[in-house]
Amino acid sequence: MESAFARLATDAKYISLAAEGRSLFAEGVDDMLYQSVYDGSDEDGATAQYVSVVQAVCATGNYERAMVSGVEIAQKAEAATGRPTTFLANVTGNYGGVGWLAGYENLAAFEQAQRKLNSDAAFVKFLDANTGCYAPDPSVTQSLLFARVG
Amino acid sequence: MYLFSRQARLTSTEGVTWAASIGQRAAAVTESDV
Repeated sequence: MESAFARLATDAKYISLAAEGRSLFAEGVDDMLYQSVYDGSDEDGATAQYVSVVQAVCATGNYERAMVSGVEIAQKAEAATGRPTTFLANVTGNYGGVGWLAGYENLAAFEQAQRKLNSDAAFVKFLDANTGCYAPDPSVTQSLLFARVG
Repeated sequence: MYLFSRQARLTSTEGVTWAASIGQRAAAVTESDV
């Protein structure tokens, strides 16, 4: 990662593109770093056209329980959807922040996975049983869907 | 494994093309999945 940043910082074309783009976005940029706690299967993420992310923050005093059940949630989601699911922990940003990430080749695949997940009674029951692990704050517990544009 | 993300809020659809270009350049320079 250090060498990747060093290469970017000295790449003339990247620097030029960054300068060109300054007028195209509001406010600043937010950099975040996450570390994988559970990698999921080794599917090549570069082929994903859509990536879903669910973010949460460990509740105070529940860090161990939240990390252990976070891995279990990823494994159970994989079993329910058949999709590799990665469990990540924040290195920067909110302390105790965690996330679950899965990739999809198209929106139909995403919709199918969501249907399977929401109709899996054992999965939903497991989530309910572990609700107290994570801070009950809707502003930090979010579901996001990203689409590849390049 | 680490995941790095850089997020910004674009002010126009014109920015989508630029975001794709800079993402592709970052992928090529860093030899990472972007």
